[in-house]
Amino acid sequence: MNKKGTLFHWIFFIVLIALAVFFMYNNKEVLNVSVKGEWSTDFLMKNYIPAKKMLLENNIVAKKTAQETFWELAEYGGYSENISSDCGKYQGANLWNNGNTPCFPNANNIFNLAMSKNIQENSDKQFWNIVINNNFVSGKGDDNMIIESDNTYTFNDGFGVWIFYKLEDYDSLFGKATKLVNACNNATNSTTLKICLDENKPSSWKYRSCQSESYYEQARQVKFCAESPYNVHLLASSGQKEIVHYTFALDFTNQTTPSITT
Amino acid sequence: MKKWNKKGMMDDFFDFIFTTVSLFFLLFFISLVFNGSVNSSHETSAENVADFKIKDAAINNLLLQNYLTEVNIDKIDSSISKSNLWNGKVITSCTDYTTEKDCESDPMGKGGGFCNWASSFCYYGNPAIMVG
Repeated sequence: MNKKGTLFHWIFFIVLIALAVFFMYNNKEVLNVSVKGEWSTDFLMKNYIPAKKMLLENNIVAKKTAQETFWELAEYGGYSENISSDCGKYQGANLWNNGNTPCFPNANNIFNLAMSKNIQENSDKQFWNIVINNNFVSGKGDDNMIIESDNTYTFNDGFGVWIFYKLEDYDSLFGKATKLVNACNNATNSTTLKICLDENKPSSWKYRSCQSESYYEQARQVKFCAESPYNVHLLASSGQKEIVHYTFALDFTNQTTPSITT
Repeated sequence: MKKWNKKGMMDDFFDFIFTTVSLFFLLFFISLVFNGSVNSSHETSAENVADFKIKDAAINNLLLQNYLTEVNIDKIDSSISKSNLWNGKVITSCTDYTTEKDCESDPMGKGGGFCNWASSFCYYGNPAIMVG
């Protein structure tokens, strides 16, 4: 073998190994192989995930607000802070009838209005078309955009939450209230009215207050506190789940007109 | 007529061996370099997808938790970042355990001993009273 040739061979080998080592340790920088799906995952992480988080936050606020609104309606006998019964109030409680004239609230509509008002107080976003349908409360929001350097994501910033609550509670209460009024509005005096109410009112209904019951009647009007007929529990301001109780008043004025119906 | 020179033949033979071995190593290193960078790209890609899936699943878990119980709005980010993969499922809070055994043993330590099983669901603290 020629010595010069051998040297050339070895130099070639060493250069080859040096290049290999260099590329192996710097392959990312030198070859710059792009990450597959980088744009897509960037889009998902920087646009889709933040949008989904915003919707989660909306849902959390909406659920909290819906629960507060349910309590508000229950406290006002199906009405709200701003909407009162056409039959008036007795001891601060909305009357569900005036003699034989029924004044039952449309709990669905009143809930939608009260929820719209309350959610504006709990959130800095604007929501509209707030509706409750069975156990589902939903609302539309503005179209929100998340803009990144190379992509934009547009979504409706609304909410939709399932609630363990039934507005049907009111239908059950209206039915029982109608029966009670029809049974006792013929009582001749305060004493017989009390006896009639004691006999006919459901056991879960208390006079005046659910905490400290005390019978009080004035001009044949009586205030009641009734526990949820479906035993619904909701998160209360105390931070604990409590059974929902409804406050309302009934008028047992004896009239000759036909009995009330729901 | 040319004569076959023995030394010349040997030189040619060694040149051939050298070229073959050099080519082998050259191609070996090139494939190693390309494979290395492609694998690294694949790994990053798979990590990105896995990271997205965990975050996405964690938000879904919080949506479920909001349905069953309550979610603290101030703890969304920490709940998402503390979510772990366990048995192929992302666990964000007690509500994500699907069996009574897992719920009560709480292997990911999400409830600090307060994960309780009731009505086919796992809850943190006292189970919510549900009427549905």
